[in-house]
Amino acid sequence: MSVNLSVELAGLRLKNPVLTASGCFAYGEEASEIYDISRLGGIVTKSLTYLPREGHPPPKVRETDAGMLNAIGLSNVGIENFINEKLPFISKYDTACIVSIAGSTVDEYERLAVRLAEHENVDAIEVNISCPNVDEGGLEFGAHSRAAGEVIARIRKRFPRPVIAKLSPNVTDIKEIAKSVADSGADIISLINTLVGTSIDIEKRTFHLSNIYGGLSGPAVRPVALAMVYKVAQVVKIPIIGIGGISTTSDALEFLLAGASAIQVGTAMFIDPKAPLRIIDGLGNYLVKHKENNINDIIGKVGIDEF
Amino acid sequence: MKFSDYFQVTKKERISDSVYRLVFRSPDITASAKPGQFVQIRTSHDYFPLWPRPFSIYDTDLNTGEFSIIFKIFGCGTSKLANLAENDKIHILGPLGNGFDLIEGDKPVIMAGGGVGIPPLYFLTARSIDKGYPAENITFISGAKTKKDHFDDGRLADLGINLVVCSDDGSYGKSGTVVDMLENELNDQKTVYACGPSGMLKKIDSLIKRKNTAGMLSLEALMPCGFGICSGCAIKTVPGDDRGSTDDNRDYHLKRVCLDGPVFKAGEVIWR
Repeated sequence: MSVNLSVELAGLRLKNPVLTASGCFAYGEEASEIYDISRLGGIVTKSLTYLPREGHPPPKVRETDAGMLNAIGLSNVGIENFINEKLPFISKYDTACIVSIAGSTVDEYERLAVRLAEHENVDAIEVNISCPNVDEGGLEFGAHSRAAGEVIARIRKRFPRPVIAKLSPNVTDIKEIAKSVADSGADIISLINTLVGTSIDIEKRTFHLSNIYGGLSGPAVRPVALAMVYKVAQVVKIPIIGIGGISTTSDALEFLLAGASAIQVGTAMFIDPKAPLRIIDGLGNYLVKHKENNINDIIGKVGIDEF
Repeated sequence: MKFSDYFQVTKKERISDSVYRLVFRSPDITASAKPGQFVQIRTSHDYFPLWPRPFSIYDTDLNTGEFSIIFKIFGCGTSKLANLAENDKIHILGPLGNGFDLIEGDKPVIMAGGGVGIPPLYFLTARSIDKGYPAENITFISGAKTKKDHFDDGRLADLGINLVVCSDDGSYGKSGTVVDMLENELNDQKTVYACGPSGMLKKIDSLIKRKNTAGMLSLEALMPCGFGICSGCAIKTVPGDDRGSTDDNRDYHLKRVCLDGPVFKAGEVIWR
């Protein structure tokens, strides 16, 4: 029995619902040396700023229980280098190209969107208004519903294809932020970015990360992410992309059942670069096992049992 | 090309109290590995530890399609690795990193290996000799903390090189550190190849400068991914001409140990 794994989110067509998360795939070149990245539903690039950034000084990462902290600090090649050197490479592959952008001002976000609008092979942009690791921008926009809406509204006017708003879990009420970006014209919502955390070296009595705080990701955050996806799915009508500790097929299925139309694989890429491929195969096997043939039929189909 | 899959353990042997050698069958990794490269091994199938662990390739056997690593039990990842049995399968990604270029010509060289730094330098030494580099021109300093955790399985002695064995406490070979031995052996005619803990490499880097010679240093680092996508293992290096513009005026350039390294030129790394 053949199964249909393709999904469409606000005009963004994906051959399967499995994407790689921003910052966990660089710009695709490294993974392409391991397997054919055309098998992926799509890739999300590292967040781009207008000028190249070195990011925070080392140490930038710390392993935690079933998770990790990172304070990379948005290191990236900058928009012009991306367009000249990285985008032509990604465009050779038959997979959706989603470009993540991060600005320190609304104007910077807008200029990034304008520049990317010129390139038809950028299928969508994901607006990172949720990076917990930078002093300005990032979470400053994502933590306040009015600021988040303003950024999205400005980008929406400048970019003719789907705009994805990536939300932070480090907020009082994620439903309010979700409603604000949806009302401001976001076509899709993706969530969650990392949770703010830290870690201390008890012998040196200093923080493990140069930035003190880092973003927690990996299997440890998955239940938090899943709850937030479900909450947001109850209050917005636009499609959702689930992110947060997804490593296996069953993890991915939980998010689809909770209401996500697609998912992103992040930290699991570091542990097993083929994790997205295993999930794609696993989703097909799950449908066959349940005598179903369309992945769209299970999206949001979680029920509430009577106890 | 890099390979990511489950590979079989074909042999396990104990070298000293807490040091083991593991052999894996992977014709693909074996055929493409070069000295100084490493593999990322997922030491557990649960999330403890979460990240795979990097291990330098010790040797390859093109006839059997096998490669080996030598490691010391250090934390939970290496403990789990030491519990593997022959025929077990484990997830490995490799070969990774830039590696060393084989040594050419006949100018004398010194290998300075401390503990985990010995396996990649053995690989470089053996392959360079295979390609015609004169064994007698190689001095190899093989250092351990103590006899209990030495990395020497006897093969270095068979290469016909000038072998200097030492340990910090004098329980194995000469008494003294790798840096102490290097201080005696090094002059401006000899190129250094060094691998070991950061503290040792930092001292060797300044020794190379003081003795007015050249060297290559292979660094250790904890790496979430090992193949360049996360940038987590980045270190500070002296900015080169290829840096380009950035959003600031920092006096350093970040390079990934896993992809831009692990082998760096002496003088390139800005040490912490």
